[in-house]
Order: sequence, then C-alpha cells, then structure tokens
Amino acid sequence: MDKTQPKYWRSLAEWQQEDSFREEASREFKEELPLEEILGSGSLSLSSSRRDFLKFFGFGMGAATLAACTKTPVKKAIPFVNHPEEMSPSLATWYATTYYDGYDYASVLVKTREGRPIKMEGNSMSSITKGGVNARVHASVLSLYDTTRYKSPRSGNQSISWSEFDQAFAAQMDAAAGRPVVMLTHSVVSPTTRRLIAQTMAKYPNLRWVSYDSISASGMLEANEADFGQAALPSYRFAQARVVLGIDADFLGNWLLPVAFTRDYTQNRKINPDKPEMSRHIQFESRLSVTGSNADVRATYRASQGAQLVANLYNAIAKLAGKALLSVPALELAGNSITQSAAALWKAKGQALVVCGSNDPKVQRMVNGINQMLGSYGSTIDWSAPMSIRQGRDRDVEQLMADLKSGAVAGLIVCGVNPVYDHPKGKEWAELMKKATVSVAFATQPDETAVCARLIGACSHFLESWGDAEPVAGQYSLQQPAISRLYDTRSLNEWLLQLSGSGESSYDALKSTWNGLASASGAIDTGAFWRTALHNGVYIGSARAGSSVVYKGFDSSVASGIAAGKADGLDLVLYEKLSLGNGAHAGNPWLQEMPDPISKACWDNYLAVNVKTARENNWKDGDMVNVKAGSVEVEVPVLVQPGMHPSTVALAVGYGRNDVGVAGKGVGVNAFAFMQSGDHRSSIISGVQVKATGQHTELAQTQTHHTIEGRNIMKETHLDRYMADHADGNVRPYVTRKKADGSYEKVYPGKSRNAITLWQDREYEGHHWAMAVDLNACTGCGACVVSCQVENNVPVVGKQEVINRREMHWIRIDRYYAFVQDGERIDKETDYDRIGTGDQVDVVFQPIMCMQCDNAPCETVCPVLATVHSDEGLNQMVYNRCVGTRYCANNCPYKVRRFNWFSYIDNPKFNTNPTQTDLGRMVLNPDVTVRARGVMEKCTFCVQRIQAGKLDAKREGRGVGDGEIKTACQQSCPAGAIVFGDLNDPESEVSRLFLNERSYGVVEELNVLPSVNYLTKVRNRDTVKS
Amino acid sequence: MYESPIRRPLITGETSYAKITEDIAQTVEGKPTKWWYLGFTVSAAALGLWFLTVGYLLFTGVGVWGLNKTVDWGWDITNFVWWVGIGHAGTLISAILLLFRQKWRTAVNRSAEAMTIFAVICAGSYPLLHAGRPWVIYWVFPLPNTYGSLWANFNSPLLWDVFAISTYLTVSIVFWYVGLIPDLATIRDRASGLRRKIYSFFSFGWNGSAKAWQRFESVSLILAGLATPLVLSVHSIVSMDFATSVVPGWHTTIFPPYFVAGAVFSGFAMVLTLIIIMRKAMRLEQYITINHIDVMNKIILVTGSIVGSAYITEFFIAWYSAVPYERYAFINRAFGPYWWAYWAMMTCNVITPQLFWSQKLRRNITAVFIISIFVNIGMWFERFVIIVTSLHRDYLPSSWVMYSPSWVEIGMFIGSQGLFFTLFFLFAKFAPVIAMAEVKSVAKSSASQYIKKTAEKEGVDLKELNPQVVVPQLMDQYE
Repeated sequence: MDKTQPKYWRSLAEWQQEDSFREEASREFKEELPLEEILGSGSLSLSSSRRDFLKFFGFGMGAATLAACTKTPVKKAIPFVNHPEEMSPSLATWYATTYYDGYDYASVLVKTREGRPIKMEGNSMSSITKGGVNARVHASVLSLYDTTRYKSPRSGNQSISWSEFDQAFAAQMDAAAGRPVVMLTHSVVSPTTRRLIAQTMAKYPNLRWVSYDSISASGMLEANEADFGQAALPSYRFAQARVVLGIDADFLGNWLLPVAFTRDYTQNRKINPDKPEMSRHIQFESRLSVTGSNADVRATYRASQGAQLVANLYNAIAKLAGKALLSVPALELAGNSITQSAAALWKAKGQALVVCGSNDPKVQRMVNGINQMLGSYGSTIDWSAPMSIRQGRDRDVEQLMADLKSGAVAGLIVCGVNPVYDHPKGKEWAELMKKATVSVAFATQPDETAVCARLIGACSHFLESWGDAEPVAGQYSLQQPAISRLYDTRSLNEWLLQLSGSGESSYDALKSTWNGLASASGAIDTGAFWRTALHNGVYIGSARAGSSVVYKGFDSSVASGIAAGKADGLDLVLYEKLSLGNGAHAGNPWLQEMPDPISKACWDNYLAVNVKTARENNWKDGDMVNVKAGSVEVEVPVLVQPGMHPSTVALAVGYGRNDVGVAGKGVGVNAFAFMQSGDHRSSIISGVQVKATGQHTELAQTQTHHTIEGRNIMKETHLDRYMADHADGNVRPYVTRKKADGSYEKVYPGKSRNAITLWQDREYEGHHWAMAVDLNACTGCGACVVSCQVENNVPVVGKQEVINRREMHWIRIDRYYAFVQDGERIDKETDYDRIGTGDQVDVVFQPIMCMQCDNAPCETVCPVLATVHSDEGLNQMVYNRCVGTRYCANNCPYKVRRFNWFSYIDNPKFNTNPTQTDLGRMVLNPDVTVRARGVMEKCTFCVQRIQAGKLDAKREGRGVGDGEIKTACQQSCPAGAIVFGDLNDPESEVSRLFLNERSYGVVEELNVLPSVNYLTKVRNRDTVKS
Repeated sequence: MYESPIRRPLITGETSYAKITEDIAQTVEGKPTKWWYLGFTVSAAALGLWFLTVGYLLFTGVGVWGLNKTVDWGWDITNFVWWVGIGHAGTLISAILLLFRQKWRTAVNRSAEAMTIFAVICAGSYPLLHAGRPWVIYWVFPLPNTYGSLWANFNSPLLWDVFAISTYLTVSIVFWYVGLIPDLATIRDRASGLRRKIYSFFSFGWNGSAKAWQRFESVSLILAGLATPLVLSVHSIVSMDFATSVVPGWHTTIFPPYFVAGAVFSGFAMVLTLIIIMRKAMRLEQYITINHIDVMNKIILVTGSIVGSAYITEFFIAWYSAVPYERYAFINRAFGPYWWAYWAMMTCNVITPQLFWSQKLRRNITAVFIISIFVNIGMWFERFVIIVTSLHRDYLPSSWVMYSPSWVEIGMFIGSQGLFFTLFFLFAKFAPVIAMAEVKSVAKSSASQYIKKTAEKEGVDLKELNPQVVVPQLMDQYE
C-alpha cells in the first residue's frame, strides 16, 4: 500500500479499533437473524427429529439414485464425433491392452491422439513382458491402418453384409450335414475365447478345434508330456540362472517369449561396482543368431548333429553327476566347449539353465534330463506357471490334413492362421481349402489362406476389439479397444458369440470371465476389480497348482538311433528374423525395412553362408544360388555371414508372401516349403544342394563394413579383468596441460566437459539432457529402431534406397564382428585372409543415435543456422530453415544425419511409405513434423517428449523427475540398455552412469563432447593369457 | 620502348598496328568458320543436356544423384571446386602479371579472363543446384528478414564461399569488361548499321582520347590491385570448406596454399587447352606464339611441383600426427577401393607436369595439348579424391559406403562443359579474343621484326646468342 495515500475512517470507533467495532465488522449481519422465529412455526424447524432425518435421508438417496440412472453406461467404443470429456486435442490418451497374434505376446499401452492409436509401448506393470516390447509389436499399430484390410465380409470376391455372411455360413454348415468341421486357430491364450469356442462347439456338435502354430513347440510339448505328464511349456526364469546354455534356442530373438526372456536375461548382464557379477551365457548354434551374438562363449556345430551334440552334453554332465552315460558317437566342439560348458553348468548347479530350440521330442527329453541333473526344475524352470502359448501339436495338424483329404473332415474354418503360406505343404492346404464343403476364413486382411476360402469373415484389428490373454498360467492381461471399428468387421469373440447364439456382447462375455477372476480372487467389489484391471491392463491371479509336476526319470532310449552325422554336404537351417518373424506381418513396411540385427540386411531373405565355405565356392554377397532339397528349390542371393558353421547354411522364413500388402508382395522367397513336415516339423534340412546360377542381385544392407578396423570406438573387457580394474579396457583420450605452478595435468575431454576449448563455454542452466547406453545390456534386437521410426514419423524408403544407402532411421545399431582365431582377435579387413574356419566370431552391438554434441561440428558449418544448440544441450534441427547443403552430415563424425533426398510423402516411387495413403497417415505422430524434400533430419532425443514432460511438471508446479521423460528408444528397449536424463542433476541415473568407470564417448578425442556415453562391454570369459 | 634483343619475341612475323587490328577484328567481323559452327553445335547440345538434367533434378530432388547418407557431396562439389580452380588463371594473368609487368600476358589475358568468368558461372551453378531446396538458397545471404534476429551463420565456411565466389565473379566481370571497352570501340568504329549501334552501346562511348586512355590505365591498375588478393582468397576459402571440418583427410591446414597452387595449375592447363585450339582455329599463331605457351608451361611446372609436394606433405603429416583415422584416410586414398582415382591424380598432376623440364616438350604443341588435358583430368581427380575418398570411410566403419555417380550427375557435368564452351564460343564470335589495344602496346618493343631491328642496330647476331636462350630450331621465328 502506498503510504502517501491518506487513510479515511468511518467512525471514531474504527479509528481507535475498539473491540465492539471489530466484533461487528466480523459479522455478516449486524443483528442475529430471527430464523427460529420465522421458520420455527411449521415443519421447517431448525431442530429436526429422527423422523425428519430419515425423511431427508430418504429423499436425498432417492434423488441421487434417480439422477444417476439417467443413462446406461456406454459399453461400446464410439467414434470420436462428440467430444468425450477425458480427451483433449493435443493430449495423448493411453489405454492398456494386449498384443497377441499366436506368435508374439506383449502387454502394451496404446497411445492415442485425437482418437487415433499412434504408438505402442510396453506395459511396465506386466509381470511377463515387464514393459518390454519387440519390433513387431511396435509396428503392429500400422496394421490397423493397412489399406488392404477386409472392410466387410466377403463371399469369394464379393463384399457381403454380415447377415448374408451368417446365412452363407449356416448354409455351408448345413451342407456338411453333420460331418466334422474343423476350426483351425493359433494357440489361443484368451480364457474368454477358449470358453466361447467351447460354447460354440456345444452348439455345433460337429465342430472340432485344432490349434496350429506356424513355428511349433510340438517337440517340447511331447517331451514334457512324456517326462512330466504335462503337455505344456514351463516358465523359464533367466533371471535366476547364473549359467545359461542355449542350444540353437534364439531366446533373445524369437524363441517362445523373447521379450520376457530378454528382460530377465539382461538383468544378469548389467554389471556395476556395487554388483560386480554377471551370468555366463554359452551358446551352441549352427547359424549366428542374436542370442548367440550376445553369448560369452559360443561354439558352432553342424545343424544336423544337434541330437548328437545334446547327447554328448548329457554324457558330459552325467559323468559329473555320476549317472549312466548314453551310448552315442562322441562329439566335441571347438575349444572343448561341451566339456567346459558341462563343468560350468555343473558348478552352477541349481542356478543353471539349458534351453534348446529343437522340435524333436527325443532331443528335448535329453534336455529335460540335463536340466533335471542340474537341478533346474524349481529354480530356473518353473512348472508352477506353465505357458499357454505354442500349444499347437504338429501331429494334430497332420491328422487334420489326412482327414480333409479322405473326407473324414468336411470343412475348415481358418481363424487368423495362414497354413497355405506357412505350412510346408502349403499347396495341398490351398487345394483342401478350396474344395472343402465348409471353406471359411476369418482374417483381418487377405492372406494366402483367406483368398482360398469361399467365405471370408472380416476380422477386427486387435486395437478395435475386447479380449484377454493368459499367456502364463495365472497371469492375465486385458485387451481393450483403443479405437472404434474402422470397418464393418467382427472380432473373433463377437463371431463366436454370434455362432453360439448367446446374444451376449463380446464385452459382456469378457466381463463375465473377469467377474469369475474377481470372485476367485476374493474381491468383494467386482466393479473395482474390473476398473483396476482395465486401468492396469494386467492382473496376476493365483497360479495353477504345479507342485504335482514330477519328473518321471530319464529314459535312455531317447538317445537310440543317434548316429554320427554326415561329414559332407550342406545342412540348411530355417530361422525367423527379428523383423518379420513367421511372416504374418510381411506387409508391414516398417518391419520390412528394419535391418536384421546380425546381417543388417532388409527387404529380402538370403542364404547365409560361412565365410570360408563361400570363399571355397566363390560365392560373393548377392550372388544368386539355387537351393534344392528334395523337390523344393528356390533361388536366393547369398550373404556371406561370419559365425556360420562351415557346413550349415541358413535361410529365413517369413518372406515370399504373395497375398499381402504392397510392402511385402514378392519380397524374398518362401522358405517354409523347405520345412520337414510330419509329426514334428523340423527346420533343419540336411543334404541340401546349393549351386550358383551365375546371376547377381544386390542385397539391401544398412551396414556393409563389418569390422572395427582396430579403432577405439567399441570398448570391451573380460569379467576377470573388470573385477581387477573397473576401468579396464576403457582407455580415454587426454591432453597434457601445463598448470599455473608449472606442473602438468592430464585433461580428459570426455570427463571434464569444456575443459579444453577455444570457445566460450556453454552454460546449461536448466537441464542438460544426456543418454547412457549399456553395451553389456544391449542385445541388438532392433526394437528401438522401429519404435523411433513410429514415434518420429521416419519415412520408409524401400529396397532400392537402402541399397543406395539412404535409409532414414534415426537410430541404428552398429554391429561389428571380430574373428577369433587361436585366441587372437582379427578385426581388420586387411587381416581377413587369416580367419580360418570363420565360425568363431565375437559380435558387438552399438546403438548410434545423434550424440547431441556440446561442441557440435554440424552446427558450425550450416550457412543458414538451420541446426543450432539449445540451452538444454540439444542439437536442434530447424527444418523450415534448412536449405539442404548437407554440409552438416558430412561433418558429423557419427554419420547420424539423414537427408530427405526425395519427397517421400508423395513421390509415387516410394509407395511402400505408409504415409502415402490417407489411411496410413493416421499413424503419424502429430507432435513431430513430417519433413519435406530437401531438408536434413536426425534424432532429436525425442524433443517432443522432453517438452511434454516439462509441461507436465510445470503444470503440476514441480521439477522434472529423473526417469520421468523417456525417449522412444529407451522406452522400447526390452533390455533397459538406454538411460536418458538430466546431466545437471547429480542424482540422476544418467549422471551416475556418466561417472561410471566403464563410461566413454565415441571418438571423444575430437572434443565434440557427445551427450551420449557408452558403458564398456564386459564379457564373462576367461582372459586368454598370451 | 627498348627491348633487349635477347628477349624472345611476343609477336612473330611482319606486324603493324593496322595488321593487328585487322587480324584480330576479323574473328568478330568475318563469318565464323566451319569449326566454330561444329564446336558451337556440340556445346549447345551439351548445354541442352544440362537443362534436361537440371530440370529433372529440380523436379525430383537431389536423390537423383548417387549420393548417400555418408557421402553427401560427390560430383557436385568436385565439379564446383574444379571449375573454381579453372577460373583461377584469368585473374592471375590479368591482375598479378599486370602488376609484375609481364608483357606476354597481353596475348592471353582476354581469353583467360573470359574463361574465368564462364568457369565461375559453371562453378556457381553447383552450390545452387546441390542444395536440397534451391528455391530458398538465397537464405545464405545475410538479407534483412521478418524472422526477427535470424541471420546467416558467419562461422560457416560455406557462407565465406558465398562471399568469396560472388566477389570474385563480380570483380572478374568488371575487370574483363573494362579491358574490352577500347577493343569494342575499335570494332564499333569499323562497323556500320545495327552492328555499329550494338557495339556502340557496349563500348560505353569510348572516344580514344588521351584522357580516356589515362583513365583506362588507372582503372586497370586499381582493378588489378583489387583482384590480386582475390586470386589467393577464393581458393583459400574454398579449401576451408574442407580444412575447417572434422573429416579425416579434410582437416588439413596445408589446404589453402595447396588449393591455390592447384587452382593456378589447373587454370593454366585450361587456358592452354583453349588457346591451343583457338590460335589454330582463328589463325592467331602470330600473336599467341610458342613463347607464350612455353612461359605458361613453366608456371604449370612450378605449380604442379607445389601440388606434388603438398600431396607428399599430407601423407607425412598424416603419419606424423599418429591419429589412426587420419592415417587410415590417407592409406585408404592410395590403396583403398578408390585407389584408381588417387593414382590417376598422382599420374596426371605430379608425373606429367614434370615432363615440362624438357624445353622440347614445352614447345611441342601436341605434347602441351595432351599434357594440359591430363592436368585438367588430374585436377578433377584431386577434388574427387579429397571429397569422396575422405567421406566414404570416416570415423565409424559401420557407415562406410561406396559412392558412384548417377547418369544425372554425369549428364550435369557434361552439361556444364556445354555451358562453358557455349559461352566461350559466343564470346569468341562477338568479342575480340585478344586484347588488341594491349597487344599494340607491346608491338613496337616485342614483335620479332622490331627485335631484329634492335639487334641489327646493336650489331648483335641473334644466331650467336647463348644457345640456351635461342635454340637453333627456333630461329625461324626471327625470320
């Protein structure tokens, strides 16, 4: 108050501030109101009786009840015509849901913007995937906007209505005249769907149900049935294992539940001074898998000798355990790996785990025997929570084919599986499908099987449907729609309900399952239970009692008939890529363009051949070869792959699709045809003939130089050396500087930022964003690449542009090989003639994104200031200002800048770019600019997420917490290898990691001060004394 | 003006002021020869290819070239630097040699200057067209704008380039045109009708008065003074595009002098290529003599040797630095996948000019022509080697790539040659290719007929002069 203003008072009493005045001033009315007098006469008396209270209470309750009953709750997802209360334009809404397609499972959160699902992220509340998601799940959001999706049911090529469909279906069922009709699905993990199928089968007594998995676990199911009386798969506890031995089991790639396994596995791989220990991972395999490339010890074997290998391993452990040995031909791998591994496993008894990818029940029974000797059951293998994925039995499928042929089964209803494509006898399936009396497919989009069906039910996308999953006994996950149906489609549950004639909605059906769970859990308030489940997306119930599972004892007859393998000829191994998996999503351009973690090739499958074998046959990368096994032959390009066994070649399945979206059509060849059909489909084919055709093609690889050339950019050490010195292997550059007192000091440009500079120091007063990448945790899986692509609207450029080396990914994972020959590492191209058999390789992965250098070389060279430094340490790209000189990209030591060579958004040459269609554009993240032709782009550290995080914190009047802002790559990493945070906060995890002895910057001797640091890789391997 | 008889003649045969005018003006006044028509047609066809490729480029995007995520500059900047280098001889001859009073420059300066301008135009087209969005390339100029404090980045060598090249082009054009004025006036005076009107307009009312000549001389000297530092600065600054970067093989402090020497080297080679054809086609052997060619060959020998030493120095420094990336970059140049480009450069730039130690070869037109072509090729490869082989394998081996040009890049290069030669043919047709006025200024002292007179007066027998100065087989030039 301005003191010069005169002050007036109303009375002397106010001036003197008498008590009477103050009391009056504090009252609203000068006098007491005579309420009692006015109201007291009637029933409005201020004092109320007990009767009055009950009257008021009754009225209030009644009114409230009536008011609450104005509308029934909305049970349907509705199109975004009326603005729902909880949705605001520009703010994302998240829904917890579940991804399961018979191959991958993940509990996810779906980000929707303005009603459109645009991004998938892992649900960290899930006890199985624990927030991890793989590339296929990331990419699945695009399949919602796939232009090839069925928009209505179809009869042949004609669109029909659902009522016509139902009639046509009924007519077909009538035509079957009570003869059996089989419903073919993938392994169903949804308790609701299982119940509805049973319900439908009750309605149609001639309906039978067969599960078919394109990549089956029949061998394990049968082995477990024989050994444990349980035709199921136990849960594997990689987190509990001190020593893990994988035998052709790509458990970090595609084996069973890879995302969950990656989470658990990497827990034991992260090492720090507080926990200076890590698991030892041994891998025996015949090709180089992602899992094998992460192993501490790796040895290769000839693919057809798998059974012999496992038997020999059994013997090696049995010897230590004092058990009877199997009589099998002896086999030993390079470096006595079997004996040494057996010793390591035996030493870690009770904390050891052996997993095997074989589909041969005999082999799996030997593995069970090994695990039993090692005491794995109850510790690293858990029967109390068996998995319900991969329940399909190859035998049933073979039987079904026979029955269809003989006419014992009159019809086929195919739901969400594609045997015409992914069964070895696909052609026969097509015929059977066409001529069956009941020929129905229930599919989201055309595939090889659906196009053979006479009647096609248009299936809703999983983001449009209600559902649930129980992939592991007792661990439930809920699936809720994130968008209303785009087309006239039904979910499988809806159709089953229609068939069974229950009249229930799929929501009600789901809810009744979950009400059952609620009452089983003892929850009194089933509504609250449901809401919590819907919010969390997951629910952990009581596990199935598994204590009754007992090992029945080893049956040595399983080793009978194992002969010494042939020494000549080539074996073919079929495998699934981390990008395409079983090929169900081959039409997804993000997956097609995702480089294979190992070969860095995309847009094709190829025959991976050992270096030495290729040299002997004079095969070079891209040479076309004819691969022949029995009556099946294909022509594929060769890719010379270090780490392959010399007598084994490998070919990926999932390619060669015909009836699929534009991105997948005619890409590669279908390798499923090679698979050995029978009661245990085998992906190992011996005696294949490979002949060069003389043709040559170009492989689209994002990396073509595979060795590190002895450069100090990828640092690593061994565990024993790390124990002795935490900074081992991490030699950091320094300069010697003269101090004022004449003495000299070492200055490390990477450690003390701004220590050596010609420039005025930059001050970061607020935040200073930075990232740390643990090279020990990164498995190279590539989920981050796709996640980043989705988050940042990164265009797809197609095969030719990848060949032209113009892929646009903002994050890449560099993969280097070092051949190991007699304990010596060969990591220079010029030394390649000394590599020997070429199967002994060390592999390293290094994710590279923009380093957001504090002294960024790109910034100084831009003539128009289109790339500038933010006061939070970010190197910003101003697309509008960029004239496209590309000088910045030339001057980037990390080569992370990407140029828009063309207008990818509308140039018809790039028709695989999903954003070229109106529907495809729905997937764009509205927070990220779509870049025009002629401008430079690069990783921004997900600046839109940083901004959103800061705004949230500001709105709530607090600082940004550590770990609150997650970049897309970090968020997606199943291994948790990427940590992002504020370097100005000394307590933040990233600050602590920057001070870790293992921390270093790539080419930090340039003093560009990268804001991304790496932690050296530690291999749990004994140092070879030289 | 006295000229010692031991100097070599700059004009051979009988000469007079009238004859000089007649001989040189006939190139403008007479009908073009068959050779001119042929050359012009071929050049114009190549220019057509330029328009075609540039149109396609502008319509589709820079992706039509063969560049990629690692090699972001290829033939575009190679050609840019090559053309800028070629543009160096003109100003050097007109400015520095004028200041040094080198009389022999008078015969070649006009065409060298024209060549400079056309080469710089060709060079300038590349930074414009290599940009992803050429329609906003004007943002590199520090223009006032409505974006607030948005300005160009004065730290960027590309911006320095913009200033250096545009200044150089401006000064070169002014210099060239000022020199043309008296000659255009001469043609005007000899012409009639429309032709007279046009030349009258372009000769700016030149009246040939003593005052006009005096002003002309002063302006020439001032412009020479202005242009001299540009000769050194332009290519120094172009070299800084590379020298200030962090790319191994680019980050080299030797670049400015080495680039300037290389530029003079390639510029003289290009001048030689052109004038050897021109003197023959336009019958100007009397004015552009073997002595001129000899002198220029000596400059090529000197600058070629400087360039060669620079190559060796770079290698030494790469080894001496002990920086693994730097060492690899140089080993990779010589023995990596682009070894052929490196050895093409070494052969053409280091070995072939050394042949000019032989006077016989220096004065052999065929040999000189072939070697000048070699030098042009070698200097193109030098830029290719610096740009592409440094970029294609830099720090992280994961990003190492190979680069090869697309048909569009090749078409644009051929097209830019078309642009250059079309302009040069037009120039040769419509302007005197030799500076008449300047040649006349040295005629009385340096023409062979006057040198013979001086020798006779002084009683010197030209044939008895030191044979190292006048070789016997060249005596016919005095006849």
